Amino acid sequence: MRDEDVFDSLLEEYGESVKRLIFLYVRDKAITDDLTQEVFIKVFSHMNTFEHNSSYKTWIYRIAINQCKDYFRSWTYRKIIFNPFIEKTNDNTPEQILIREDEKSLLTQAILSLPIKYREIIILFYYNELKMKEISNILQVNESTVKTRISRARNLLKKKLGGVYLE
Amino acid sequence: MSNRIRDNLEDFIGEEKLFTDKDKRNIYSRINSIKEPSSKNTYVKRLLHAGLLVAALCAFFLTIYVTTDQKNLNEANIPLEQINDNNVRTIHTYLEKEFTGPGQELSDILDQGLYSVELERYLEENYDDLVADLEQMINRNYVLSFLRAAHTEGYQLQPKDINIQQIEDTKNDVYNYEVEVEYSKNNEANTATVTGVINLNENGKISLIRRMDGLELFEGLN
Repeated sequence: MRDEDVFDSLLEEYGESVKRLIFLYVRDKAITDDLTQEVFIKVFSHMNTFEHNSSYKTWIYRIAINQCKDYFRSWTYRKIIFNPFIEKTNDNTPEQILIREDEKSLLTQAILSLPIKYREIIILFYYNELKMKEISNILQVNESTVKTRISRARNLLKKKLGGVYLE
Repeated sequence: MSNRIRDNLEDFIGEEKLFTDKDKRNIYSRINSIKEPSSKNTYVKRLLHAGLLVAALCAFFLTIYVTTDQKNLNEANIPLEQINDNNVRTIHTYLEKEFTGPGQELSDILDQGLYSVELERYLEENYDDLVADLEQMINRNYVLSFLRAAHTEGYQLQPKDINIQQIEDTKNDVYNYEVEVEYSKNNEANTATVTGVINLNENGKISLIRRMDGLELFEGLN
């Protein structure tokens, strides 16, 4: 199979999940667009050097996460003030629906407000449903560190939310 | 827990597909320009960059214009004793409590954990007159959320500006609020804005808080 064909199938298979992952990191749709492009340009450029030591998925996710972290370190990020919350509720919705949506919103806010190393572990483990070994490969840390971070992230969420949402 | 987090984050991202044909086209177009760089491409790219720069500048000035305009529409921050509207007084008192401290008394109580009799008594004394269903408010984390986080991280909160605006044309008493909160630690202070919507019942008590956006403050307290 030619590299171009492999790339086409990777774009097809991972385009959506990578873009969602990036959005959860940066929480801004326009920046997500840009970073997603950058990730796949890198994937394309490095296709011939990929050594198959890990799966394509792990490799692409690692590129995506590093791209996000580079962005957080960049000048552009430090100059931006985020206000990314988009409310979907409206005043005509029944009260109970509003309450349920608010509960969700608070849990999301608590997750997204975690320091990046705990936020990413929650996203990768609970959202992307990756195995500890895969996360360990992506983040280049050992599995025991992944376990510790998951546990610490859960405790931080409990501390923020008083445990109500984590039961 | 796993499903709950997944569902919440899915809700946050939205159901819509994020990765579209436009993304694919953009990626392939970039790849083609890498493979076949040409002067025409460079010219188009420069033109595109110039266009983006102009668009960004327009967006920036528009944001400043809209923000300034909106601020002009807001009421000035009035001291509590001068507020005549009982509903606004109730909301103001609640917001002041939520974003002030924690003082020594509350800190000592929080040190005893979340299930102490002292905390129960504190909540009743401070919130019973303000909210319709205290237990529900506690369960939904609309009481002491930020003060607990501030206490854990050693911060002090102080509301610098509280704006409360009634939403017109609603059947019930519904108010938008915006609080500029100062959070300080070791002589270093920052501010964050918390916004939301509060409903009051026919007795003038807070029955519902929704659309709360406290992410900026949550992040600041980390």
